[in-house]
Amino acid sequence: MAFFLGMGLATLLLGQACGTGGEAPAGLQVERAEIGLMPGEGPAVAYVTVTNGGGEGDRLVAVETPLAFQAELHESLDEDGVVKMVARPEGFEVPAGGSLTLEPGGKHIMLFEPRRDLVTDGRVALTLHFEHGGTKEVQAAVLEVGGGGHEAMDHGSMDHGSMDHGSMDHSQMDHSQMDDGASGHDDPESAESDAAVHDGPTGDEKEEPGA
Amino acid sequence: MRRLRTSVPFGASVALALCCLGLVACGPTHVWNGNQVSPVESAPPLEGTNWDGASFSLADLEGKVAIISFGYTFCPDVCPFTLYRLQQLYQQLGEEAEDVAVVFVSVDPHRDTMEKLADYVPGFDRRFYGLRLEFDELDKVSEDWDLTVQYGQPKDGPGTTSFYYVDHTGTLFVTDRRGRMRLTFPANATAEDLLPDVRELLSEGTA
Repeated sequence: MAFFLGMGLATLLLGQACGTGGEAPAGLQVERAEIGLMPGEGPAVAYVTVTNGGGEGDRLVAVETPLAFQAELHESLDEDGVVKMVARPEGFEVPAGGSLTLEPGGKHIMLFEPRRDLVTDGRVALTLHFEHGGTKEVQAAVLEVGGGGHEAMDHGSMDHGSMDHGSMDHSQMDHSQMDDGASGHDDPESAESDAAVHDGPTGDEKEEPGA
Repeated sequence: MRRLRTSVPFGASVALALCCLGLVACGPTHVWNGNQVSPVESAPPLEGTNWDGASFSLADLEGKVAIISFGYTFCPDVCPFTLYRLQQLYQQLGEEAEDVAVVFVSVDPHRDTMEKLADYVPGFDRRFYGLRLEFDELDKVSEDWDLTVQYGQPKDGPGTTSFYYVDHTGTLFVTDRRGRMRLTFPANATAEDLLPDVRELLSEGTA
């Protein structure tokens, strides 16, 4: 969590993961769930915090979301300045009486071929599968990481009313030096690409994420 | 340095000497958050094509402080959050950001087409540079900058076009207004870590 506080995202994130019940035993609680969409069409990422009040350890072994074609458990490692990503198909431990925290630069859920058009009101369903504890579905808050450069796109599919983006990344949009910076960047194509509709394969996930 | 010393008035020299001896209170000396590079030398060359199609050379930025980050757009965890923190740094710098260049260099020329970079980099800030280098250019830069760049196997097996990782140097490199390599930061450095050091480098001027 300290990392997020450092990033100034805490105000956006805290309290936005609302558990919707499920089959998981009372011991497992999803305290936080958020998804970061990146500029462009590359992979997205999800982070969760799960606490385990029970007496037995468990493991987060798989994740699903209609947002993505595929979700995988990964971990980023920084080894002497070299950043590496490692798949963790064995999942992540949620120790008894402890917690599991996924956050940038460490354990994370990688979401392949995300579809912005499936985000409703800034949220999307995220289903966590545990080795012993069954499944738990939450509505994850969806954030545009960096989103400030996108003038055309953000407002179509995302409800910014639910996100305090004023404090996050749009303040630069008002900057008068925006276009007289480094090399007079002008990008006539960005409006087009911003509006691009994602039409990647979606497997058998057809439902709109429920609210 | 030599020229500077001879131009310092006598009184100031005495004050400086006393200061060094601990006889008078010194002004605050900057404590760097980043790792200082030693010896201080010109940054290695870095040339490529910016996301807007313009040619880029690090040497052309002289007069600005530059922060150079290597990564790839398919990286979902480390790279975008590094750029996000640099975006925050720009916001905290305000107008001073005009004198600070952020340069993202793709280590994945195969997938990071100009189109991909144009979709990605300005999504953080349109003033950020986002460079594509051809493979041979990247090889040269990797050597000059002492980078590690290693391509993983495609997820669905060798020879497929499926997703692959790129292990890469995540270090942030910071050059001063004179184009000299001065500081490095780990990939997870925050805007708050960077800000005081960048301001100090800005205050040093260009001469």
